[in-house]
Amino acid sequence: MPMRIWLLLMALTFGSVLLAEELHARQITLVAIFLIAAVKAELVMDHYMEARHTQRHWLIMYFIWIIVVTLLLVGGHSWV
Amino acid sequence: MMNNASPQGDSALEPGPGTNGIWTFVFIDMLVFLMFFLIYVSERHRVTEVFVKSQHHLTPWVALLSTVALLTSSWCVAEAVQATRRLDVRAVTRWLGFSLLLGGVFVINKIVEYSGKIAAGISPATNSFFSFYFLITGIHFLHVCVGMIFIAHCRASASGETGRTQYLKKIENTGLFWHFVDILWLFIFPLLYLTELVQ
Repeated sequence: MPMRIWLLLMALTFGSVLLAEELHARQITLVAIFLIAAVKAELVMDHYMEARHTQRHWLIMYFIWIIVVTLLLVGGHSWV
Repeated sequence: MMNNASPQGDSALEPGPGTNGIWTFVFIDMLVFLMFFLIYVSERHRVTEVFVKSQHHLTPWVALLSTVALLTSSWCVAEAVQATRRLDVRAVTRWLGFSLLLGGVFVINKIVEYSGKIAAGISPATNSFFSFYFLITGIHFLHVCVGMIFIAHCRASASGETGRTQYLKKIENTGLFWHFVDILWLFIFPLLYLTELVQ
């Protein structure tokens, strides 16, 4: 199972670099690369940190952190 | 009445991966990085042109190698934790060894990257973008070094301690810290290296 997640993480990593290089719609690409980062963080948290098996409040707070950081970075790059 | 509770508490009896202490520590660290990201974004808004021009001095392919090394290292630690639960000492040692090797790739890659910047006359004093670049990646780099020390310690004690509940908690805590370091990099990578690659 950890290997499958690793393969998915690799595909998402190379995918985000390709998107950044090849796609010419700046705003859409910026949103996409930060969303991909959020998905990767969620995969690491869920499958490698096994956050679902810890106390529920940690799962919620860590998940909220990913959402807040993603919104901050997407929002921070949207006005220019 | 005297309280005889030890400072260690009952960490070995805590359900789920790791101890409550490491989840708390990591979350506090995550909030610190959230503050860095917040200040970075607000400063970028103030002097956008400086940030955009400076980001063109970074090499995304070097950072991509760092990303691959860290993600792969995280996978190795996840495998080591599972091997610990199976009481497979050889697999624990092997996976932690791979993990250390990949952590070393990240460290060397970062040192080469910093050396290149300094040789080109770029330092934290160059402008506000490079202040953030050296601060964010530098503090992350220190986290990687600390994580590697923990992994090396777990590897060294694997043969004598595998099978003990305390060792399982130790390697789970180390893994949690290492995965957190990985998660931070997953956001630092697009933030510093990819955003100005976008046309």
